[in-house]
Amino acid sequence: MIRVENVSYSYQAEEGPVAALTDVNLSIERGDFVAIIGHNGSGKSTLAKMFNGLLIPSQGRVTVMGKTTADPEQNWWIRQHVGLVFQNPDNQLVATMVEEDVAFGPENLGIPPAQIRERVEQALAQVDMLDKRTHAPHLLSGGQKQRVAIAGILAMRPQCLVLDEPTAMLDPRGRREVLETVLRLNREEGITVIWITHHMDEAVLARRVVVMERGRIAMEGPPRAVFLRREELQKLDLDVPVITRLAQLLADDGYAVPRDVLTVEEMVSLLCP
Amino acid sequence: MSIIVSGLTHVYSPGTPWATVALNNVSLEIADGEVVGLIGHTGSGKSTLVQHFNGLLKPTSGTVIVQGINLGAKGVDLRTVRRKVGLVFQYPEHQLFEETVAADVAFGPRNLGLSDAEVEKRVRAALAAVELDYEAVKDRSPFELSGGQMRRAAIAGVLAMEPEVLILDEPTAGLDPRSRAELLGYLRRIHRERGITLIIVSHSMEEVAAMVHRIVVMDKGSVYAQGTPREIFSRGTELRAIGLDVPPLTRLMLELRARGMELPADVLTLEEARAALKACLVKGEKQ
Repeated sequence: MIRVENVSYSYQAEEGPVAALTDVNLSIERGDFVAIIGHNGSGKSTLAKMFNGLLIPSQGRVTVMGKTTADPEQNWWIRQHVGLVFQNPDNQLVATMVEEDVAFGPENLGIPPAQIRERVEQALAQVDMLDKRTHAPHLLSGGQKQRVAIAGILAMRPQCLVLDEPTAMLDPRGRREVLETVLRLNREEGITVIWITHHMDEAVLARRVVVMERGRIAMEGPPRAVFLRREELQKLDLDVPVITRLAQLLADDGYAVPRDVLTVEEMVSLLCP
Repeated sequence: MSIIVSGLTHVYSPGTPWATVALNNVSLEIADGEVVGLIGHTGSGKSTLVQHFNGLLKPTSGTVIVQGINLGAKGVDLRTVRRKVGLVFQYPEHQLFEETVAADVAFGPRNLGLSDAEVEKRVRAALAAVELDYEAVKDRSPFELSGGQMRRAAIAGVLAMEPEVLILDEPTAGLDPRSRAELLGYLRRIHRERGITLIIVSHSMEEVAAMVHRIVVMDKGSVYAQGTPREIFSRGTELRAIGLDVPPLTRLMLELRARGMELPADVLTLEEARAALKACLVKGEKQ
């Protein structure tokens, strides 16, 4: 679906060029759920902007279903197929009514009004916000705003959603709402998801975890495999999920607990079968 | 006593169709030098409450006494109060505005009418407290700093006022894990070295548990519960019901207890969880 091949990217700062990405290779398959973790400055947001051509590689190339993002002719097509959701929902909502906001994207695609109405309705249903369609976006909660922002992208009928720390500014309830919505879109509707986060407990839900450090991919694999490599993660100042750490400590103590337990639910069913 | 709140009610837009009761008859005392975590989900009233502590909001009814000053009394000089009580808002870096970091941090103390030498001394100390190198950052634009550094510079601006009470509203929101841990470390040290009263507003009890003496849980404009982190954690099931995130280890213990395992409900740390489970598994559940 998306291929990142030997991509490097540097931007111009006062002190000279700064390398934000160095020789990154990554392949995202259709229907995948990939979590990208890493500290601020590790290059993960730069990488996110590569997926839909918001940034163009200095070297190497990014292709979306075979079309290269460096080709300006493909810009619209690519952004329609790969939608980007940012951290702050307040910066992404433009209209005074929820449904108008969601209609903004398809209107710009020149889609006939009857179809727009249908798309808006479907997109709001997908994020469970249909009952708020005539509300003012600024009066919604953070989680609701972020879901409207996602609906705005869904109305473009993308194949892939890239979410750059979509829960960072939300409270726990908002985080759960957004996470559950995106998980459902992935599992039930087959939408490819790239989820950038600081939260390890969100990363464990992905099919694949990519760890970024200083503009490079430091580790990659299924969450179980990545979180087994605790010492390497610690060197990067990243923690394994606390439940995984507990499982590893119990395993160290000689109990028959696998070292790759990821969630509370798993641990409960292990200890109380 | 640093802060005494009695029967505090706050209504936004009173007398209009949009009237909202944000605080409902809140009473709370915070001792000098205490570190308190104020937790609750969005809309629980925690930000409204702390904005009463330096007189930014006035009670609809009830009283707030800070460092002996009744903020509702006639003729109270709120500037005196704001000098004693430093409030760091959410995303304080959005409020940086000066051309250089040093000028930004100096803005508050300069308005106090202090001498240049005293202002510089305070700016140096405030930047040092958040581990920003004075020489390296003083002439830089605050907007050239990284997100975490901008947050620290903004906090330094409040520290330079040398407040007796420091209140931070969601100080780690949006930071990465490394910057989050560092920032909490600076706050711990500031408390230790300056002995000030520290109030940290957060969604996350996990984050504040390790550094606060007491957790106050807000829900729907009232104090829902308060106690030591241990006491509060043991009420995890209730807290989940009011929309709060219960730390994974607490959730694990609660789930296992619900299934009949004999485990403590007030586990705070990984080592405690490990010890508790070992004791339990030895008792015949070893696999």
